[in-house]
Amino acid sequence: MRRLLILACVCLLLLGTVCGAGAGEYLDRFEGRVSEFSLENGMRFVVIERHKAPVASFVSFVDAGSVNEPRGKSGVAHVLEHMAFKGTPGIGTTNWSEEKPLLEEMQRVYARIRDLESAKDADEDKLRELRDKLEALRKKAGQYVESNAFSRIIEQEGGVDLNAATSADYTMYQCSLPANKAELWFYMESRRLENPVWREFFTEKEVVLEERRSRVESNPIGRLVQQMTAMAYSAHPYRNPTIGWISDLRNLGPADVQDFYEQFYRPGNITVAVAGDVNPDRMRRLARHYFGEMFEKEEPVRDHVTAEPEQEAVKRLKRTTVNQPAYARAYHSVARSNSDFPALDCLSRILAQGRTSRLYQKLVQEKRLAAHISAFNGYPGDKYPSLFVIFAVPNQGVGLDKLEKGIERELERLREEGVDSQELERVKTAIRAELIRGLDSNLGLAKSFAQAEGQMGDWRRVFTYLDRMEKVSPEKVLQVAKSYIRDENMTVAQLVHEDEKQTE
Amino acid sequence: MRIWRRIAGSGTGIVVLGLLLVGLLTACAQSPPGPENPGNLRFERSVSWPEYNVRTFQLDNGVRFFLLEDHELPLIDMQVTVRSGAIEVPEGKEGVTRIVADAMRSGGSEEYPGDKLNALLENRAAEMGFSFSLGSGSASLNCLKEDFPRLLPVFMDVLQNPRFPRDKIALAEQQLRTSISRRNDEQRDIAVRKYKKLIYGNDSVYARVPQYETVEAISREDLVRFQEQAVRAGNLYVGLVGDFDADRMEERLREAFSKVKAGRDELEFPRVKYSYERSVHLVDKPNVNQTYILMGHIGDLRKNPDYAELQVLNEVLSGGFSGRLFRVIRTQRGLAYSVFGRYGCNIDYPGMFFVGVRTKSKTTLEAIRAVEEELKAVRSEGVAADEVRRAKDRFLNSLVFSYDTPRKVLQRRMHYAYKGMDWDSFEELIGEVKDVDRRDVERVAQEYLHPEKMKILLVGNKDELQDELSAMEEEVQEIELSSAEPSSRQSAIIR
Repeated sequence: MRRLLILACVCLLLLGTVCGAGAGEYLDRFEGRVSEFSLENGMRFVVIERHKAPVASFVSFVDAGSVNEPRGKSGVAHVLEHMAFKGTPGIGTTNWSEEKPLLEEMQRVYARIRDLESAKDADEDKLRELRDKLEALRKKAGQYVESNAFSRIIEQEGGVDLNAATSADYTMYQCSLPANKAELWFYMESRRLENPVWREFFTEKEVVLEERRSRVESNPIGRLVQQMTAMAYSAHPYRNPTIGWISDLRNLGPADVQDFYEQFYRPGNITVAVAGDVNPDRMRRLARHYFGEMFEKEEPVRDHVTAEPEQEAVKRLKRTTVNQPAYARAYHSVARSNSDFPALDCLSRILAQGRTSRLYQKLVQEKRLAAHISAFNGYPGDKYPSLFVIFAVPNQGVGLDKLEKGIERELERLREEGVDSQELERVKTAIRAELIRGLDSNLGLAKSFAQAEGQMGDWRRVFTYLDRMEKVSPEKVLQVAKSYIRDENMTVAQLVHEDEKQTE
Repeated sequence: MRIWRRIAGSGTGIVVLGLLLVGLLTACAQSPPGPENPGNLRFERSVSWPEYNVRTFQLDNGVRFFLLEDHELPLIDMQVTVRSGAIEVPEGKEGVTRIVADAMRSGGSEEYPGDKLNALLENRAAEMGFSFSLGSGSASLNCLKEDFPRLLPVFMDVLQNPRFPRDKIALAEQQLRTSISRRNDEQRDIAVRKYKKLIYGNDSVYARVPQYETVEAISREDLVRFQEQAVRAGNLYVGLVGDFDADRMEERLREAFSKVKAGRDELEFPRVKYSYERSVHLVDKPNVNQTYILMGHIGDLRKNPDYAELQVLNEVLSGGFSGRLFRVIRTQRGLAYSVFGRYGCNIDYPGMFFVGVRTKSKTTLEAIRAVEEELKAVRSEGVAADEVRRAKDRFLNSLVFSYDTPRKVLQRRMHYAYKGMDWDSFEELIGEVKDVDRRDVERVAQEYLHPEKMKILLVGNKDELQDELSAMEEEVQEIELSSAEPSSRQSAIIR
């Protein structure tokens, strides 16, 4: 049954973009090159054979992101991602038995500091004493640390693409190695997922705070988007930035990381994808050997996620700064699983993907109001109802009001006239081509397959999405435009230059 | 090593790497990584290495071709490197390359004007683009293989006969003015621009950028002249990778490029006058709470005989997540999320040596000191043999990723041809890196790094930096940035 499904969608893929013989053969071969299996503890594996070069990419997809963070702990999913590079009892230390009690003592001292800080009249002397103690412990524990040993081992063996990313929906770890060193990845990844050590925690928190300064506090666009998102969502946790709110971040301790780890880093919540010059049987043996022992903890209680109530009036945010102006608007839309998602995806592209798109033609080319314009559906994540965002940068000397009116006029035209089948076909072709071009790299394949399998339960979703998209009609696009792209559903964020009046 | 030299020197035009790879990969198994040896892993031999047979040929008019078949996906990717670049733009006309590139694509040709071109391409999910850097130009076409015969003549027409319509020129100019007005928004943009001026000189061809008045001074004739000069047969290096038959493709390309008019440019890269001198510079950027620091001095040329040693030094200092700077500045001291650096060696003109750190305002001085200490330590205390071995392992063991796609192999091959270097220069480098030892690294650190004489550029919030600045030993020279209003009023300062 599944096989039929994939072949059907493969044919669709062919019809639109590839004519002539030979291409079908290629896609058939692709289907035959994917194998999947689960371990008894629930961990899922997808192996994509690609014997083009003796290399392979490895991705671990953890089905937990900032949306899963408990109240007051924003940023903990991302801090954990950083901490996952700190090693294990065996990797990253010169003497674990000396280091371990120091780390435990630090946790205790930090817990007391936090207690004291939250007390009504904190004893300042006592606080200072504890902070000094924590600092002394940090130095002492540091003597045993072999910094970056985890990364060093992988890189020394030729590992590249070593990195990780945290989003609202998920956390993903990645690495590429010469294919004959696949076992090294299994070894390292299983050790760190099974038994991570939160060493160098307080220093790493400083690193994350610097990351926040770069991405948000010192970045005008980053700040604008963060404020817009928090305003658009009044209740759903998508309102929290993945990097974390500053006071939450400052307050985080190793125990918070441990809690989040225990709740979400379970085998049943992790999906691995391997793509490259590997043998699937061998991958299965290695998976059993290295991850088979990983203990499946009790099924965790997933917190109820607050649903976003329906928005009832337009929300507006205007910030005046020394920076150049920018404009964003966001409409509440739907989760990827919702049947309206593909139509909204098509709509965003009809509006702003490529030089034939409506907003580009009108606002960039014809009226020259915007230097840049983009639209995308699925921010900040797409597991839950997401945002449909339009982002624009005005040309020099163009006021934001004028830019906004220009956007408004195009959206109005869209709602009145709808879209024609030719422009819809064009974006469908673009989506199919994007997919084909994405099949070109081991890392890209591993990431998209891991995400589809981990988040939606089937790697075939990478392809069956085309099936859903193919069904979108011009009428459907018009319908979603009317039901989602409307003022009462909108949040507008404007970054206004302090001299805007003078430049106009 | 000896085996490698023999293969590399054979000059068959076929990159044969199987033997080399097996040698490298098995070699690593001998070095148990870290205190916890990952299960005494023994790595099996790698599967055989693909041989990439790059087909090269040249037309009588001078166009050079590099073809590599890759049948995995039904796509064809064509990249034309053009011997041209911003280096050829006369003083006072900075910005010509941007406008030429933008207007070629948006204006199209007589037969394929912009709107028609856009529809033609996007109906087929094809991509066409033009761009210029300082020392080269690029024209590209990426499409499904069955669209290539239809789109190649379109590409050739736009490349050779761009229409340069007035309205698209005006559009490109306005976009360029907008980007000028916005280039002081991000610390990184400011830092990179100003640091080049500090290293190469305020008016150096290597550091100049478009200004409002240079954009104003550009006429349509400047664009036409630039395009005509650039698109000549001897300037074109045409690379194709993808799902085609090389014989038939060669025929097609010979035909398509035979009518390109002859001629060739020799790009001139002026010498750089540089004196090593310590100085500290500040660009005030209100509204931020982090300082973007760049510190360093001039670098050198690719042809430097110590190039391989310098690459190992780069690895020791800032390779991957385990280089020294990352370890000390980020992991151990928590001073930054972003820390990077390298001793740069360009092929045509000297590169730059720089270390970059982004740190909160109040640890600016601490971060500068920490970087200085590390650079001084490399010189005074040297490096551990182990550290050098690890750095070399990182480089050598990851080499397979320099050959893992046909595209990479083709691009490298074209790059060397374009720059007039031996086709196997990279393989040569590999051999040299293997011979580098601890003493070599220490020697080049002594010879090429001058931590006492660095130019230090801070882009940060002056109000927040008062204590830091007053604690500096040397005078801090402030670089003025104007705000972004249009007109000539600020042009004198924004440079």
